[in-house]
Amino acid sequence: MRHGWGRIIGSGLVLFLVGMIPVAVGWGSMPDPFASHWGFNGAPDAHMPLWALPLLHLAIIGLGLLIAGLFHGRSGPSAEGLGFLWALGVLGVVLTTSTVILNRDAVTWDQAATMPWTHIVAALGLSALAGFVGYKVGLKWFPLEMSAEGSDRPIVEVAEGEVVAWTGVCHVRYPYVIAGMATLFAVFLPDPFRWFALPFLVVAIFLSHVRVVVNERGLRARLGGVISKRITLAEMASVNVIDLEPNEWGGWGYRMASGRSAIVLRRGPAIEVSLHTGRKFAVTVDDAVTGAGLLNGLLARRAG
Amino acid sequence: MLIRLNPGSGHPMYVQIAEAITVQIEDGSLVKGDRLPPARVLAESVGVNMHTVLKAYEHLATKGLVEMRRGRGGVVVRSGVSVRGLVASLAEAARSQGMSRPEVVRLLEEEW
Repeated sequence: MRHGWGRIIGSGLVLFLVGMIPVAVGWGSMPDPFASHWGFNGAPDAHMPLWALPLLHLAIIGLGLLIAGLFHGRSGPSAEGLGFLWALGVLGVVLTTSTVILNRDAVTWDQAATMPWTHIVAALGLSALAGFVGYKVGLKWFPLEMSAEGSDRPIVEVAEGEVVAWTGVCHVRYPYVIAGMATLFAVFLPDPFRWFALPFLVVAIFLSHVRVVVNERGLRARLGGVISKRITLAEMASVNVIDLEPNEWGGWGYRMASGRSAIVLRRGPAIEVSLHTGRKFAVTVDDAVTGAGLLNGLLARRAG
Repeated sequence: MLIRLNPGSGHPMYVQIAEAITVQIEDGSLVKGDRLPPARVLAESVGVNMHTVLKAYEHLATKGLVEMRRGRGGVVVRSGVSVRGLVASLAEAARSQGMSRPEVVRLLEEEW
């Protein structure tokens, strides 16, 4: 996995260089300063010195690299990180190209062409596509490694009369990154839209932390200190450790689908409980092996 | 964090809780920077009073294993060296070099 980060840095470099092609081609035909921002009516409303054009693209690539660094897996980069980097990189390439095209042959920046909606659709569409492709490529490039002790159905022996409990947490940082980006973005929006970041902040606090407690009463998982899921030992048929793939459980957060529910904060080891009713519940948590093992130990003691 | 308690052993509960956490620091299950669960959560999970857990945490704090931080609860401040792990690798190294058991024990006694 040593070369994992090389692929992230390499992707960033390639995306930066691709963005420099329109800059190099259009440099001579652009006004200095150039139109750098367009208002809601499509007319240019802000300008920057020409030397800042490559730096704008570099900043977007830098943000992508930062996110890829934050969204890392156990031993290297993650597919989500690569997806974010490719999405932002392509967004930067399209926006840079669009800026060059609209400024072309304008004598002063305020004579730049109006922003057609097709450019916005192209930027968002291609960015989303690149993010999706990046994510899929990332799944191939950065396959998940299970921890060495990860067996399917671990067991932690529990003696008669012994009081045992296990507490585990799963803490993730990406909701804060998303909330931070939404806040940065919201600052540039006109007044009534400025509250756009607020739901992201609430979700960030809520979706960043889960605590799991296992004891003789069973399992209890609390998401963000608010949503609580409780399963008693009597309800459990078996407990496994799985390598949870969020796509297979409907994504991130508190998921409910027919026959199963899950609290998913990340990809990777999770406790999966199968109930006598045939339903399943999974929760991503660090050291899931011990948590699941203790549940199996408690089930064994209960069965005698 | 796994806690095992034996109510019938006669040892006070707070000592047993502190002991269970110490063992995990020593065997490397808990490392420097790890946060202990909030006293309320741990108390509820093992069925003791919250003050019993707080007493255990304070006991660990006086031993210098844990630091109590305002608003963050207990944080592990020392990473333990696993004596068991060291002994296992010592035994393996000695065997591979053809050293006899009494020789190793004598070396150990010299160092003590």
